[in-house]
Amino acid sequence: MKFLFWRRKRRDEELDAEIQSHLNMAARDHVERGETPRQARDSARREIGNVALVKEATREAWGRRWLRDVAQDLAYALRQLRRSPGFTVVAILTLALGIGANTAIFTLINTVMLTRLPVGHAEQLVLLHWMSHSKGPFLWTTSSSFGGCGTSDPGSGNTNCSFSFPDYENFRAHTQSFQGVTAYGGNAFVHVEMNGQATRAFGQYVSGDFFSVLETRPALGRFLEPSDDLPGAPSVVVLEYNYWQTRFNRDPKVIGQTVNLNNVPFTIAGVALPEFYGLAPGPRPSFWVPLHAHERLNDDSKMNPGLFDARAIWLYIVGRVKTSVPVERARVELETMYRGSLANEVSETAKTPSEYEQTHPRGAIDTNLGISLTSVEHGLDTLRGNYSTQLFVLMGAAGLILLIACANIANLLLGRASTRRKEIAIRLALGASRGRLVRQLLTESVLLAFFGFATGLLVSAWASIGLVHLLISSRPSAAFLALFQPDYRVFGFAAGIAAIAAISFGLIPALAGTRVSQGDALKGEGGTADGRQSSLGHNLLGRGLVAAEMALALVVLIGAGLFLRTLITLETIDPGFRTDHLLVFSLSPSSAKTPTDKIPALGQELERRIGALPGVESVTWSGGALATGGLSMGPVKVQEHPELGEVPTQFVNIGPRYFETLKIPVLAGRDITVDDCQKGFQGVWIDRAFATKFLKNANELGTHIVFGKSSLEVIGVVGDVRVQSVKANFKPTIYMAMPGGDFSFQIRIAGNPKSLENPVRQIVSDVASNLPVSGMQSLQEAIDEDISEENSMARLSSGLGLLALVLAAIGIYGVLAYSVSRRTREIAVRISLGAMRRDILRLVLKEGLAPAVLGAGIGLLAAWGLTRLIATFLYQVKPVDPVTFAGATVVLLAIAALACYVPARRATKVDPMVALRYE
Amino acid sequence: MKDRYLNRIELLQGTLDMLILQTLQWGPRHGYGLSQSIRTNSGEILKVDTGSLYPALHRLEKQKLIAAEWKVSENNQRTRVYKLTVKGKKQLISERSKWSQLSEAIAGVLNPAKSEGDA
Repeated sequence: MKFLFWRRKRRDEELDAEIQSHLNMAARDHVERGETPRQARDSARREIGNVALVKEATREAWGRRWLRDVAQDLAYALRQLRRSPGFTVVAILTLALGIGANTAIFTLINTVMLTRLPVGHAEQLVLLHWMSHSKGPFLWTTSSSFGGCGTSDPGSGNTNCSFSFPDYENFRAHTQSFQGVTAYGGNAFVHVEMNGQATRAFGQYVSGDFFSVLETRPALGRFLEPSDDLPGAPSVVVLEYNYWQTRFNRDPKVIGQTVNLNNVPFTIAGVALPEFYGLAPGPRPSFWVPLHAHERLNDDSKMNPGLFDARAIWLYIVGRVKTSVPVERARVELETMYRGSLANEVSETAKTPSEYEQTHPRGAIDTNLGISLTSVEHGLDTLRGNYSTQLFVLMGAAGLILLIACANIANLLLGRASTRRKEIAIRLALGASRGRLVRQLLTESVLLAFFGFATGLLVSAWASIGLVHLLISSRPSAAFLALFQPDYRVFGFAAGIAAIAAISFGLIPALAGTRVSQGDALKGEGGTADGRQSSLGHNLLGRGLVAAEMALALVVLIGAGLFLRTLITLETIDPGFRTDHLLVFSLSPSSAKTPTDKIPALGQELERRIGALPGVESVTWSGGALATGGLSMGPVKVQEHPELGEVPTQFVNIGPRYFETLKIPVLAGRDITVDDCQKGFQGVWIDRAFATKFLKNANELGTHIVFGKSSLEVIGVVGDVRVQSVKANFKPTIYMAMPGGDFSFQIRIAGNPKSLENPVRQIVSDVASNLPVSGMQSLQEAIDEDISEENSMARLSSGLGLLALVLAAIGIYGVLAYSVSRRTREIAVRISLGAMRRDILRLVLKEGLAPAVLGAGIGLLAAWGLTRLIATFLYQVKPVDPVTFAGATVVLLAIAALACYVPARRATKVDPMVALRYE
Repeated sequence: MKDRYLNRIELLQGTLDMLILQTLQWGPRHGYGLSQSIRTNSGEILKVDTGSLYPALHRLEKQKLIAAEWKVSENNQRTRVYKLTVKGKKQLISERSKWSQLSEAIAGVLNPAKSEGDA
């Protein structure tokens, strides 16, 4: 740009010199013809005519006029912006916030939804789904899935991504259309032990060809191979890069060393590339093990018999379609193969029906399943599924903020254009074309937008990191954060919205500002009748913009209010137990292969020793802490009420003094004791919901609950509890004594629960040094985590709401302050004619509040239509919550009134003598 | 205002370019010299407007039909002197042939039978 200016300046100087030499020579000729030097100079000038015009015409011959114009406009715009630094700073900051907020959210959307898997030719990868138009029954006896399969439409029957191991082998061996087919078996949470140090970590089960099909190479060592994924193959593990970096100190010598996973030795085969995270963007696994490691890491013969049979579906299958094969042909090929193998399996099953099938006769098994393929170019959509709706809601709010910001700047520009009416009128009178002036004013907007874009990028770089913390992970790893680096799409997006913003806030004021009646503008500024006439246009536009701002701000505020009320509801909800002063942690003796018969004694020893710590009121254990998401469910029968049949119930396994520790009221019967926690104990506790729903609240004690083959006697009725989450409803629940297993301990402590963390850890390491403590936290922290989504949505939307409020207030203040300053003379006349200060105050307030009220009305209507979009995020709050709607409106109008009051007061302070003498 | 131009002949579009090229064929000249030459050679009929001359010169320069450089004139005046380029010479030849065709054609239209109406 500088270069352009410089070159132009030099050319201009040369042109000046050339014309000057022309004049000099002409003058010399005139002198030779006998004129005096003065006469000669005048004649020369007369001959040449308008020197400025000659120069201008010549410059036009240079071409690239638009470029020179742009340079000139830019210089002019810069000068204008520098002349009113207050306006410039406010406008740029407003824009930076609007663009920054949108860009930050887009950065997350970009990463979660648009970034390709960091593997070779990700566009060739597809995920297999099976679909059925029936509701079953299907062949499978066990099925598990891990999300990321996409949403299934409940109306169209069944769709699922889980396949059996034989399915995978069948596809892999016989496909003609795929370069490769690989299987992914979900997460493995294991106990990791190396050099005497024990931790817990999660890895993923993958088939032996996982890495070769994904076309990624190892950073170190080698990857899994099909020969590693055989029942008898030596156990090998591949480490994730960051895990290797933090846990193994980037030591290249770990290759070939042994690490114990759930007490099974695994040889470290290799380390993946830093950017590789498997198939699902999101929390990174720490390692990958072959599918067949499942049997070694888990007690499969007991827990998951027949996991590798055709009737257990638990594998996601990803294929790489050959480039020469159309996807549809690949799909048809798999579908044919799949239907064939299903029909085959069903006829096999018919020959040797299992015990279960004999007792549960079922209808014809559906084997007419379809296969569909979806692209996994961007990975499994676990993150997408989890966060995309939230991100789009936030994006919507941020978009509204940007609109408010644009309306605001348009208004400020409109005001400025009006104060420049005289200047513009003069320039029009001197022959400037209106198009040129519009372009000049637009240049100013573009420049503002550019600065807003640059500052907005800075804002977004910072804000997107904050968003990741708030929305996705409270302690993200550096590698995870690195996923959220802005790329060209983010820059393009920011530039795009900046450009749209520049046009939307620049064009209207530029057009309105140059529609000037020259006579009026030059006669005098404001105050008089004609001045008011021409400022009416601005005022109408300005008021319209204020109304729009108010409407937009109210929508954002109401949204924020709904999220806030949801959070308050959740934080004040009664979960049925006391959440404070509880420390929780879990132990997994089964992963450490502790002998089963030793576990109950271990539990009791821990309970006794922790209970003896000073400050501990009581200790208990359970299968999982309340409100942390764990839940088991199943049908039971009530022996005394056979007419009920099987009733759905949730189960909680509990240890001694459970109800006392959690302060769940025992309504009838007694609490659980240490002696109850024995194998074969015949008692059970039910909650009030169970008693009410199935026993009609009569003769609960002594009723028998039939569960499998055992019949348990109800020995206590307790209060209702939100078991799975504080967001869950009260549901019929059964509490059963738990002798041992994978414990979750809950400790009620008189003081701060965190203060006993270290003593408790010490006791665990004394009693069972090989058991890593996991998830030690106060229960309140666990609940905060449970409602973290609501919390972050409430916080983010409140931030956006506040921003909207501030912007709207600035907008209404700006319009009114400007209008008052223009009407000073009119107000002075009114005062001198006897108007009271009160009348003036009312006059000005009315001018400001009328559009505010109109805008609020429109905003209420818009919010009424829009809030249903966020209904899924709300808990016990209706999308059209009257309290929120009324509250937000009152807050908005109060702020608007305050913003109006300041200029209105200034109007009443007008001294008629001073005002009328002016000009 | 308008009658000031009445006794001047308006140059046809493009004609000025040809006149400049033709004049420069006799040697390099500066802008003022060019306008003087054209005036003298046309018997004081063609007065070149400075507001047309300089744009035309700069346009021709941009088209590389003429080249310009700064020189010090006989009376110690720094002037910008234009000269014809090779491309300009070719252009002049084609312009001249077009011009003679045009003037013959116009003359033919104006004097169809060479006698009619004149007598």
